[in-house]
Amino acid sequence: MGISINIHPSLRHLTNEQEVVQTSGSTVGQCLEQLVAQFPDIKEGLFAKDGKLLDYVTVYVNGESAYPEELAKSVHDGDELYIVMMIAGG
Amino acid sequence: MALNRQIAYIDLTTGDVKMKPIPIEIRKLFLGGRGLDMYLMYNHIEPGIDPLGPDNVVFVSAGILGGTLASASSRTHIGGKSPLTGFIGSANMGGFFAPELRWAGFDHIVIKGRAEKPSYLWINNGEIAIRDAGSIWGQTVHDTQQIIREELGDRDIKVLTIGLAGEKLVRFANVMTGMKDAGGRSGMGALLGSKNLKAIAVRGTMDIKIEHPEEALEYNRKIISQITSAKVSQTQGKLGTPFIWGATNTQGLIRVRNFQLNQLENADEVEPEALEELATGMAGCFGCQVHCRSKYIIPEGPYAGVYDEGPEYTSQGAFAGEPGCRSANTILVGNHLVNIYGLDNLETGSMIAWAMELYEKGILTIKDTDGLELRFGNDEALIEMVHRIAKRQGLGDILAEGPLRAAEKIGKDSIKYLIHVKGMSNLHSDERATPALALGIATGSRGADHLRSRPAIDLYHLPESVLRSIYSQPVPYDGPLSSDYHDYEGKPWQVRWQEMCYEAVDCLGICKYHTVFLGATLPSFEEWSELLYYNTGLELSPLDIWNVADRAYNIERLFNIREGMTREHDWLVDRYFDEPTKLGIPNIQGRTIDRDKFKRMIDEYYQHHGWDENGVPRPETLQKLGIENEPSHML
Repeated sequence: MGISINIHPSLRHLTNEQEVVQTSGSTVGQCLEQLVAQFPDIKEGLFAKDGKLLDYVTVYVNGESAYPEELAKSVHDGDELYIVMMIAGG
Repeated sequence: MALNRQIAYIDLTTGDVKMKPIPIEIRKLFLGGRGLDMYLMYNHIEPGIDPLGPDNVVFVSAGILGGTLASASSRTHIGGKSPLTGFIGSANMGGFFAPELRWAGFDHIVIKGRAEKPSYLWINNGEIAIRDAGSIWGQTVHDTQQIIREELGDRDIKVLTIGLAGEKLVRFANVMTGMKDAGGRSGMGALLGSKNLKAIAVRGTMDIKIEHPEEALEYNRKIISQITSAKVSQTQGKLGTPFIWGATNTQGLIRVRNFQLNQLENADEVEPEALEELATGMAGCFGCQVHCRSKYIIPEGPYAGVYDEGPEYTSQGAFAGEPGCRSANTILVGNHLVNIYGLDNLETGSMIAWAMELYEKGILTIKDTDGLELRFGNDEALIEMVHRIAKRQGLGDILAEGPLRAAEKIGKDSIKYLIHVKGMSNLHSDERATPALALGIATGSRGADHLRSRPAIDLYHLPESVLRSIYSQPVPYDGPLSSDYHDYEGKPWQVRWQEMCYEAVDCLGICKYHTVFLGATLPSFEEWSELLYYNTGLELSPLDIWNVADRAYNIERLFNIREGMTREHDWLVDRYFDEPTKLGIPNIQGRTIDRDKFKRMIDEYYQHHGWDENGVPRPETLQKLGIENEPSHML
C-alpha cells in the first residue's frame, strides 16, 4: 500500500511532473529519503546542508502538520504526506 | 475594565480637547482599532475634501485587546483620507505605542483642524496637551523620540512621529514608533505633516482591568503554545520576514526591475541567510513570542556603524528586487533612511524602480535626474534618490507626489510603466502566476496591498482538507477550494475570508503574524472570541466577530465609493495580462493573468460580499450588517 507524498507544484519539474509519488517507511524522514532516491534532484529543494528540512519547507501527515517532530514523525501504511512550502508571496 | 477607555477629539485649529466614553453598543458593532476608526472616518470626513487640507481628520487608535493579556496585542492603527490615493488611508504598526495609549486612558484619538505652528500632542494619564514642536521639527524619526523623552523627563514615553518626509508632505510619508515600527502605506505621515503635527507622545500607568484574569492567562498559555509550535513562527524568529522574500524569490514570484522580471538572480548576498549573518539579534513587539524584528549595525560605507532595526522583506523588495540591486549593505542603508525620514519603503522602492525604467527607456534623461545615472543596479543612485524624495529635491520632488501625479507631471508614456492599483504602488511580489494573490492586490480597499486580503497560504500547497477546515468557518462554505496556486476557482472566497481575518485582528489590535496569514495552524475567529471574552467580558461569537469585520469592510467600501471609486479601480495594470513571466522555476515561467477569468473572479468576489456587479454594497447587505443608515453620527 505504501505512503503517498503529494509534491508541491514548484517541485514537480523535479519529479517528472508527478503530483504524487509512492514511498514507504516508518518516519517522514525515511519516506523523503525514498523520494530523493527516486528523484535525486529534489534533495536541494527540500533539505538544508545540515540535513534538516529547509526553513520554509514542512510536511503535513494526513492533514496535520508534522512539526516539530518533522522528519522523526512516525507514519504508517496508507498515510498521505503533503510537502508544504511557506512561500507566502512576499 | 478594558472597555472604559475613552475617545478624545482634538481640534488643532482651536486647541479644544473633548473626551467621551465609547458606548458598548458601538463596541459590539466595531470593537476598536481599524474597525471603529473606519466608522469614525465615514462619519467625520466630509466627501470630496482635500486630503492635505485642514478638513481632513486623523484617527489614531489601539485595538480593543491592546495592552491586555492577549499575545501580540501591540498594534496601533492610523487612518484618514489618503493623500496618496484620495480613498481610505489606513495603516497599522507594531511596537509599544498602542498599549501605552490604553494605559493613558484612551482607545481612539480624533484629530481635526490644523495647528498654527509645529506642534505635538502629549497624552499622559487621562490628560491631553498640545505642545510646541519647535525643537523637534526637522528632526529624524529616531531623534524626535529621544528629544521628546528628554524634554518631558520620562524615558518610558512612547512616541508616534513623522520624519522629514511627512513635514515635506511626501504623499507616501509614513508614521513611525520606535526604531522601525511603521504605519507605512497610504501617506498618513503627510496627513500629520499637513496638520503641523509632528508627533504624539503617550505615557500611562492606568491599569487595564482584565475581566477574567485567571482564564485569560490560562487561555493565552494555549495561544502561546499554538504560536510557538508552528514552524513558520520559529523561522520568523530566526530569519525575520526576509525568509518570505527568499523563499518567494527562489520560485520566481518577486517583482524585479520595476516589473520586467520576476526573479532576482545571483542574489546570494541579499538572501535571508546572508542578512541573518549581519543581524546582531532579534527583538519583539509588546506581548509577542515570535520576535521577528532583526537588529543590525550597518557594516560598511558612509553609514558604517549606524544601528537600526529591520529590514523587513519589504525592504528587500524596495532596495534589492525592484531596483535590481544585490547588496546587503544597500538594503540596510535604504532601510535606515526610510526609517529616519519616515518614508513608506514599499512606495519608495517602487517609485524609484519605475523612474529607473523610465530612465533606461529614455523617458527620463540625465538632465531630469540632475546628472544621476538612474539605472537598474546602481546602488548609489538608488540611495541618492531616497534622500531626494524625502527632501523633495529635483526629480525627487516629482516622485514624492506618488504614482499617478508623478506620471501626469512626467507625461509621455510614463504611466504605461507604473505598477499600481488605485494610485498606490504594488508591493514587491509578482502575482502573474498566482491568481488568488492577484485578486487580493486588485481589490484591496486601500490599494495594492498584501496586508488587507492576501491569501498567502494559497502558495503553500496545503491539503484541501486543511483549506476546508480554515475557510468554512465561522461562515459555512462548501464551494470549490484548490491546493493549486495556479487555479482561479475557489480563490475569490479565500480572498474574501482573508479580508475578514485581517480586518478582525486590526479591530482587536493583534499582529497578523499571530493569525492564519503565514501559518495554517495559527489562531483564528474561534480563538479571538475566547480572548475577547476573557480579557474584556464581551461575548461575541466567532460569527459575531466576522460580522464586525464585514461591517467595517463595507464601511471602507462605502467611503471609497463616496470618493469616486468604481469597479475599474479593482483592476490590475496591463503588464499582468500581457507580459508573461520570464524567470523562475518551470511552472512559474510564461505565466500571465487571464483577463476573462479574472473578470469572473471579481464578479464572484463581489457576490461573496453581497455587492452588485459594480462593486456597490446591496441595500440588503447593509441592512443585514446594521449599517444602512450610515453615517449615523453616534460618536
